[in-house]
Amino acid sequence: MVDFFRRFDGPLTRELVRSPGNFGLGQIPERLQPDGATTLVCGYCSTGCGLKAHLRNGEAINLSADTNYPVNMGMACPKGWEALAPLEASDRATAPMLRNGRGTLETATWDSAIKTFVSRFKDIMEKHGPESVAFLSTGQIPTEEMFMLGTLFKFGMGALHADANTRQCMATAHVAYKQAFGFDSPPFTYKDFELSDVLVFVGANPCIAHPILWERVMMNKNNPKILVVDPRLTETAMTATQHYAIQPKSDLTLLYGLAHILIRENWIDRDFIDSHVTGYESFAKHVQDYPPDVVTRTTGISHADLERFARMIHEGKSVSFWWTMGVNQSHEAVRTAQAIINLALITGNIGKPGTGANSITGQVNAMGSRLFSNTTSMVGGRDFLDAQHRQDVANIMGIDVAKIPAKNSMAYDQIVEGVCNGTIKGLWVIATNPIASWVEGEKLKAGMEKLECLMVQDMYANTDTARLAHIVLPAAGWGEKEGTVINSERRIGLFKKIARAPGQALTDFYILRLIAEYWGCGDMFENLHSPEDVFQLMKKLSVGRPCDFSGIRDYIHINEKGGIQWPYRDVSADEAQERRLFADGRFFTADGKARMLFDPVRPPAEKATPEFPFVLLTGRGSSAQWHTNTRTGKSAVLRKLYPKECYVEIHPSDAGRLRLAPEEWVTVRTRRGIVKARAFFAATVQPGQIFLPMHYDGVNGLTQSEFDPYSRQPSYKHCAARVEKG
Amino acid sequence: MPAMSIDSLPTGGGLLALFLSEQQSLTAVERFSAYHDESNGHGQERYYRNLLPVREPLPGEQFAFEVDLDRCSGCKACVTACHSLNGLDDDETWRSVGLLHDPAQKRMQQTVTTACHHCADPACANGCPTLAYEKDPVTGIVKHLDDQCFGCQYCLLKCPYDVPQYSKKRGIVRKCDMCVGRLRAGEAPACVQACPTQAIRIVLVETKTIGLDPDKSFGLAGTPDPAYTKPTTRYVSKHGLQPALQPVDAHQIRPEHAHMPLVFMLVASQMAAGFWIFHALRTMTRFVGASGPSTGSGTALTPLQHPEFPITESIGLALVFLSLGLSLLHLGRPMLAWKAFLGWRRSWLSREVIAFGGLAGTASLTLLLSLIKWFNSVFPPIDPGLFSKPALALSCLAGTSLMCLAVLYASAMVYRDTPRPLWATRLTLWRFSLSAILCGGAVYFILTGWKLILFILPVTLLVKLALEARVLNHREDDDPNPLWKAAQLITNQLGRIWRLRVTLGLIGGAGLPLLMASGIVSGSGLAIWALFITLLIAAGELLERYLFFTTGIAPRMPGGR
Repeated sequence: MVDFFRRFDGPLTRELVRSPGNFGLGQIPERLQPDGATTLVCGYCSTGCGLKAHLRNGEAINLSADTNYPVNMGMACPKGWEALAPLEASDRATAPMLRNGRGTLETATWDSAIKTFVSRFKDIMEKHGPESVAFLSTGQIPTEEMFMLGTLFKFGMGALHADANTRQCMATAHVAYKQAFGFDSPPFTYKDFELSDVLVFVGANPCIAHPILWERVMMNKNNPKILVVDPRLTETAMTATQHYAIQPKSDLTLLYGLAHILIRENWIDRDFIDSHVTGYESFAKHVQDYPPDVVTRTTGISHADLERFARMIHEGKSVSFWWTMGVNQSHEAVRTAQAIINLALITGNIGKPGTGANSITGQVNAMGSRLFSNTTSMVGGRDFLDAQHRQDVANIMGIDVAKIPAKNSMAYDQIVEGVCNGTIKGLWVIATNPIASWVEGEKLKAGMEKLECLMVQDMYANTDTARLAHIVLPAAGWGEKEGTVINSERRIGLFKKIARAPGQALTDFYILRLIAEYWGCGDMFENLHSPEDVFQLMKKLSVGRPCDFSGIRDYIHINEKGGIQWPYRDVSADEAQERRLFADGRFFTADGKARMLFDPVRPPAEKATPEFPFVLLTGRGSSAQWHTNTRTGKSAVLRKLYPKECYVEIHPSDAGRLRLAPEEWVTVRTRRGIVKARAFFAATVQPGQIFLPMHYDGVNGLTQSEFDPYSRQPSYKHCAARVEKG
Repeated sequence: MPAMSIDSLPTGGGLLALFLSEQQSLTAVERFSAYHDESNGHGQERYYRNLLPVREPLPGEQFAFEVDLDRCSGCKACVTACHSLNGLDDDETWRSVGLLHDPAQKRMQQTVTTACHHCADPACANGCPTLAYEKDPVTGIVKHLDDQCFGCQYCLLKCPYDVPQYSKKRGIVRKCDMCVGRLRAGEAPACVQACPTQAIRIVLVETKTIGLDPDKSFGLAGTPDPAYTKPTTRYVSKHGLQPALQPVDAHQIRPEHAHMPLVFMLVASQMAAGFWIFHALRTMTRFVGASGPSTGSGTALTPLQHPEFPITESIGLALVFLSLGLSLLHLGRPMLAWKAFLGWRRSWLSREVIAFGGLAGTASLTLLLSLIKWFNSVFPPIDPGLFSKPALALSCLAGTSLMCLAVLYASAMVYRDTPRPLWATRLTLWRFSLSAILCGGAVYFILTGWKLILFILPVTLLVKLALEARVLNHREDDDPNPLWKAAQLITNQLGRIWRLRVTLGLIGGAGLPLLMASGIVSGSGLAIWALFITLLIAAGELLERYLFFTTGIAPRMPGGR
């Protein structure tokens, strides 16, 4: 009778019933009970978390975070939790497409699509030479596929110009390390977050950009001092012991000023400097030009705060320095990163637990790209201009050394320039969306529209860039392929195949093999039947290099170990799960010493003017959005976690002056374009500055073509803007 | 572009077919042996052990969420973990993360994760007409009984924290159950186990102190008054809670759900109520004044001459059943409508339903009596006997009127008994009652031509418009409170609807009736005019009710940008 009036159970109740899952999962929804589970690395950012796929008949039906993975200890950010949603999206590209005579994309066969690509690219190269084509790829695909792409393009197809969107995120760290340490070698392991007693974050907001790294900070038992350098009061800055809200792009001045005080007070590690560093004396002389009064004037922070900053670095027993995009995306980015490196070097905070000058990378495989994409560096972190390097690679790969160009590729911005001025006539875009992500997107779009052949290889045929393509190849995505990626702490992790690609979509590995075959250079890859074969080849290419990982047996070895950090020469030497570099103070330079590199501070190209009175800052807006949102936008849950409409953070005093109402639509204008956004009054930005999250249409297009001279990374973080009503 | 001859190119041979087939084979399991930890246990347990209470609650205690604001960094992993680990629908979320900041100059912000507060005095349960909520006597967890719910969504209106989520495809509401089964098995709720910074834990709280000292545990800026439901979640920070902050979405003004079936149902039921009350009044007036001159009969369109067919009562009853039918449209599972009375002890919605039932009964009885009378006059042999006694007819009519008043009152209480500031005042009863006079009067005028109504309508309409417009006084409020938002909506986003509402009301409720009263219109046009007046008034009232719902801004936990 009770049940008649009041039902405590029934079909609807049972929909939500949880029951014990196997595989260490604890309780999970009964209707999603798996018959297997496997761990794979998440496909978004360079944190490289281990996700546990709940499998039924080998196919993922749900995901959780893996407890046993040494990176994330069972945690994941929203993107990771929702990693399956982009795969299931209804708008996946499922068949190749060709632009027809009427200018619309229509479905084609793989055969005709690849034939069209090959014939057009060969035609262009024949007429205009090998430098008339280029590719722009990504940090989102496994190292094996990057390797195939880079070697096919340069050694097989005989082209030269290739770069990836890692230029937008990590080129600076790459160059800074290479120049300073002799190799692109982030020295840290994530455990260092837990072991420091002082953590300095420069231009980094891990709470939002790398939540799982913030987890590691929160696991620190030393009650550490957290010092945050950022113009905005970010979520990370909120938790800081001290937040230094410097004026935008005054970071280099601040860092030199800190070195000035440390040297003035003799708060330096003389022994370490003498044995392991070159260039100290001239650096010490250089920072004489950055006394506190100069620094306080430029940065806007007080003398007392500056002195205290230096003192906290001095008093820390294990000081670690961490930087991200605030540093990397700047007009003097490499020197800024190296100024951080210099602080670590002069205080001896490197090679020891809880120390280091540490770049937190952006994309999941930016690190793989840096080592093996064969774009700016040759495979294995080698140099195209070095004859010995070319010979080594030719020998290991069994190809004619003449096929290896003795010339460097143009960088991303130069390729874009080539597209815009017509010298690049054929462009191949792989797993990236330059029109939305590159600076001055409108200009790039106009350039791309003039291309003789634009081929886009992507999971979706409706990205801003794919819409312009002549050829679209449907790519399988993360979760639909195998391969390895390298995270910020140099950990090689595994992608696994846990989902079926839709329709005729193929992994980039297969697509590249097909293109090689059609191009007539298939023999180059004929022994590479799987990504793991490529991995074995890359192992050989790493031998003797600082990134040597030839001790890794195979994928199963990586799987068993929960990822393996390079170097991994042999099991006995490199067994520990968390390892850092430079414990012996020997760097990868010829003399084993780290270089101190510096330049005078230069102002950014655009300053605020009466016409454009604001400094526009851009950055990550939420942990639920990834880059141009082509993937994260597919998850209904993630869409609930960020505003649908673009917003601009503006200081209440500026908003008042402009007579804006909260939430009012405004136009943000720069010399390059406009973006409509809702006014969000936020005292977290400083007066005279505005902030736009980079994930919304047109935001990156507002920024300018100003590049770091060494890394050629764009300066997304500083340009002049105006805010208009309406 | 003159392409090279495509056909002369080499082809991929059998590779393509091979690759397409390889692509579809899933290899993870065979390549990498199944996960090594095959146990039933929970690997994550070692990380969350300290985040759970060590014992069951004692009498007077219950489980509660505790959020360490100093550890919450706004990553929102809790929202997605809850979603995945509980197998929720694609866009269904039981947790949300808001952001507080200082609206003025101070540089300060604070993220806030929030879910069901498992209140000590849960408004959802108190309002539920079907008793589909169960507050567990031991754990204090407020559990929703999905199979008991019939999808009236009243709990969505009752909960000040936007917790219950309506699932359209199921026709029911679902909500956080604090992962009660996990807790029972010694596991942490999804959000607790997935928070990278261990900001959420489960604690024991003393039930009777909850809500007494709000600043201590629930004094977050921008949160609804905890006195209403006594939420048990504790927000803690070593800096203390910062009442000067403001939710970042404070100025976001979005119309609330319109609940269209309710818009129509309320107007229809008030039309019915007004109609019957007018009918009762007029009948009694005529009965009392039977010997004297009859009021208004001169202009009667359909003179009330018993025992004609009881068309008035028929229409009155039809209106009652129309509104009953409309109320069913609002239910996700109308087949379970009969359960609506179960919550009568606490739920005004149950009481409204019961009053409706009573009205349907008395109105039916009234019609039945008239029918018998009419039947008797047409087929005289049947002796009406007792049924012809006027006292009985009048009693029935009086009873019906009383039930109408009960319906009006209960309807108003359904909305007054919510935390929405626009609704939770005496004004709601006035709105509904005046609607009854306007709509009921207009329809009754069609049937009877009772001239008095032509004077009642304009007065009622003007009073009602004035009452409705009172919310505009909040237009210049300093803080973005719900009434300020309502005023903004009426002024801007929904301004056209508001202006249309006023226009229709003025024409239908004041202009035309006065015109008719002045005698300009006469003859056969009268009925058309009367019908026109009714339509205009009803349309105006529907728009008014639409605005009532859409501008009845609910309090909420702080939202995100």
